[in-house]
Amino acid sequence: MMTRYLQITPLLLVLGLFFIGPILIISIVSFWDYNEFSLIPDFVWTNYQELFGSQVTYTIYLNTFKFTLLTWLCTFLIGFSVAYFLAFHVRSLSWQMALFLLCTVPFLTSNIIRMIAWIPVLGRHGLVNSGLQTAGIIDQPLDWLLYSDFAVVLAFVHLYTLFMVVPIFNSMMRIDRSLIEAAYDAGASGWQTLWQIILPLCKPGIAIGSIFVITLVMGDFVTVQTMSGGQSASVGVAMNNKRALLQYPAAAADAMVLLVTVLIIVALLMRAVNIRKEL
Amino acid sequence: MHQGQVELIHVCKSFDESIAVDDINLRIKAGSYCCLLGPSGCGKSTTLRLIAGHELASSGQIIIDGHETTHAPPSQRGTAMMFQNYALFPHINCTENVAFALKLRGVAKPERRKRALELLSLVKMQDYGDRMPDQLSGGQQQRVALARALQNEPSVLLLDEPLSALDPFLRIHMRAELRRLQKELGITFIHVTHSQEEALALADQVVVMDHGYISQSGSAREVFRCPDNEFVARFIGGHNVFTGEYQQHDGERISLLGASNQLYQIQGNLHGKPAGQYRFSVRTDHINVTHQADTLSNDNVVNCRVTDSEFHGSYVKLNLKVNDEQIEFNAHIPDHIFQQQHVKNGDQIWAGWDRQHTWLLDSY
Repeated sequence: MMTRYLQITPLLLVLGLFFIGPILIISIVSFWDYNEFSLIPDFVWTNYQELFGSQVTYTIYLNTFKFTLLTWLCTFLIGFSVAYFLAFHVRSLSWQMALFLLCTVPFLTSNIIRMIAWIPVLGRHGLVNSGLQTAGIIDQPLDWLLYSDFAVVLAFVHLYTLFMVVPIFNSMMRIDRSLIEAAYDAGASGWQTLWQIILPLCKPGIAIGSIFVITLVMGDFVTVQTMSGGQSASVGVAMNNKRALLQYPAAAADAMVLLVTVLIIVALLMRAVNIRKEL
Repeated sequence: MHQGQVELIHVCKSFDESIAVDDINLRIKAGSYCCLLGPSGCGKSTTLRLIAGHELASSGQIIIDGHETTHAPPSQRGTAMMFQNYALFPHINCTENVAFALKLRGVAKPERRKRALELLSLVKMQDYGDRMPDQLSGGQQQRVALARALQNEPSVLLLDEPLSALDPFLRIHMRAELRRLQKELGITFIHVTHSQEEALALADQVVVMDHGYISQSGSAREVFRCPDNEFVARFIGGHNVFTGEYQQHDGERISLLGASNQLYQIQGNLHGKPAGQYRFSVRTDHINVTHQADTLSNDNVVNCRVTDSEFHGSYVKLNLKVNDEQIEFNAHIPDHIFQQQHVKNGDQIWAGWDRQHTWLLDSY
């Protein structure tokens, strides 16, 4: 009996210290009161009331959902195509592995650097604008390339597409090749096989990739702030602003609402797709 | 009128450097049951996949019902394939699996269901339409796969080792079922197997393959009684192969001298090129054994030792070796005769067979 408890102790300690503990603290702090100078331990609903009472909250959430949806759509389309190419068009296993590793190379640099690297490319006098101007396609530099919603989504897609590629590739590699032959044998065209057989069988991988992308984008603030040049807001940005103003309880309430929102999305995804087979 | 005549003309298939199918010529009659038989790697599955259109021939022609189909896609050949692991789509139920081809063609759902149910009842699976494939046993999955293969009304059904995943009892049951279905539908079945027992039990035409060649093609009886060469005789089972040097002949009566100075009397046509080495086969069930040489009236008599005996129910399989162990062969003795003879392991006995039970093989 004793040994059983001892065996789970390390995991319990790690999870308790680094996962359950912090969430508990945040949830407790979200009910505290505060003023300009200090935090006041208390149990008040004012943080939540202010949050739900403000029109800004809804605008910010809407904006965050917009980023999430656009990023999800792009990463899904790119991720699915890349995974499909790797799984079904690259015949030899060694090439498959080589190309797969190539996909992960960008991950060897930090998020921030990969993001900042876009600035000289997309800026007013950046690579794209000067290239297009030299080619005579445009007269004036394009303003919407950098410090815009476009730039934010572009950076997100660049950062997170791999999270979509990996689980979908994994799902595709598990598809028995004779199923595709069976579909072909029954008279299915390439598109019909993709739509009727491959896509449904990739659902668990798509769901796992979606969970990664959605949670990462919903919680982000650095990318939105950097790539929008401070012109666009997301839940993360708002939360970070409150933190900077030492309004910790308000930021904590914000965090709790975001956590619940993301959990609801994940729960809906899990309801729609059975991902347990994939784990 | 039966459908499904298949003709292969000089068909070759090579993968990178290896040749899987080497210049095959084969004609399979419409409405017949054909078994492609051979050890693994002999090219039988590749041949099947060539007919199905899942591999394209490197050269040669494939003609099905008079139509040149060498490069046609599978669905335009009038063939359907049943895969070795059944390949049922795991995400849709049995009815939808069976109606998959109809769905592709845009047939409305009620019509699809009706047709799927007809096919499912043909294989006695009508009560399982709403089950998912992973809720079925191997035998049931196979029946559904069979129904699915029939949805496009093929004139040739191609079966890739359909019975190999089933347990022995179910295998014999499904074997009869396949035969019944083939008769009922009147279409051609081409069945790949490595079990000679399966091939002999099922096939109108047995095609024995080895190293990408066809070793022999003929009716099950023909192949069993008159194997063309040593490979077929050994692979089809129930045969002993002996080797001997030509001594003399008188018409169709030939004398050969084998290892251990053993003289054989065999029957066959030498086609006017007497001298040299010859091989012949004797069926294991045509060999008599006894303790007393004078009770044997056969024209071939061999003194040998019993090295092993195996009880097979209705017969006993004896493994026999001539003393210096250069000749080894098997005899299947009916159990009731075996019991009267008191033959034990290690006994020195006489084995005999008649000249008319020998079969001269083409040496190749």
